[in-house]
Amino acid sequence: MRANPQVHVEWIEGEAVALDSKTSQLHYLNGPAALVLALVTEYGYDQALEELGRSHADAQGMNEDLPALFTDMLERGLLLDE
Amino acid sequence: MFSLVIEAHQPGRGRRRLPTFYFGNSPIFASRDADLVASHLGAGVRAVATAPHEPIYALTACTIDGRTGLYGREMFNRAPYRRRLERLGMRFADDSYVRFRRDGRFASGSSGSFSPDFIVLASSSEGHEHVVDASGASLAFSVVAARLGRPDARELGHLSTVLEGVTALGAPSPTVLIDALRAGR
Repeated sequence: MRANPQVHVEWIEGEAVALDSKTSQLHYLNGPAALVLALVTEYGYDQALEELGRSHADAQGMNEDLPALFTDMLERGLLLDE
Repeated sequence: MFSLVIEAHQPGRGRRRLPTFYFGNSPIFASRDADLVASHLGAGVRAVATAPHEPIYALTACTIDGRTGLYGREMFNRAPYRRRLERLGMRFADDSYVRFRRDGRFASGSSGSFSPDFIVLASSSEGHEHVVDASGASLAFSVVAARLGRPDARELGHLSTVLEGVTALGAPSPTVLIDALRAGR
């Protein structure tokens, strides 16, 4: 899984607005979603998961939400499943 | 997409609805002056036609106590909320659209160019006592939702930068909103 290069992301105060240049859709990413996308963009999927596990080991809620978050980001085209 | 509705006078049917310009099913501008409504229809067509090449936003310049802002709660010039704001002292520009300029200022034909001190957005908050502030990415997202056509990545980044430090707020009650603005929010 990797970040979609056709999506332009504007990081703003720990959140983000993402513009998909192919579909013209605009997405608002709250703090956790913006963090996940930033990590996948920077490190790739596997390392992003490791980083999230390290830095948010005590954030049980976030870890539980991760599968749904990744699914949502795939469906929105922010991430590509390849 | 655009329509101009002028009801014919029919004796015995009571008051006629004002001549109104609609975008889809949404009323945009109504006035007793049908020519004025027609001119807004023309402005709407021009705005939509221009939007692929120029950053046009469905926001209205407004002022209160010498401060200039952008109003994005709704477009209809005779919306009850907006008319209440007018009675409380807010003034609205004639134009229903503003252009986002390369220098980071907004402009419209009737208001000239300006940097907004505040932006009024819709509030989903329940109750009448709360002012909801917007900032960061959610503010940028809300403002871009008012863009006719789509922005490119450069405009999105530019807009995000310009919106830093701009107060954006909404409140279910017009009085609460005006009080907040007069208190300097």
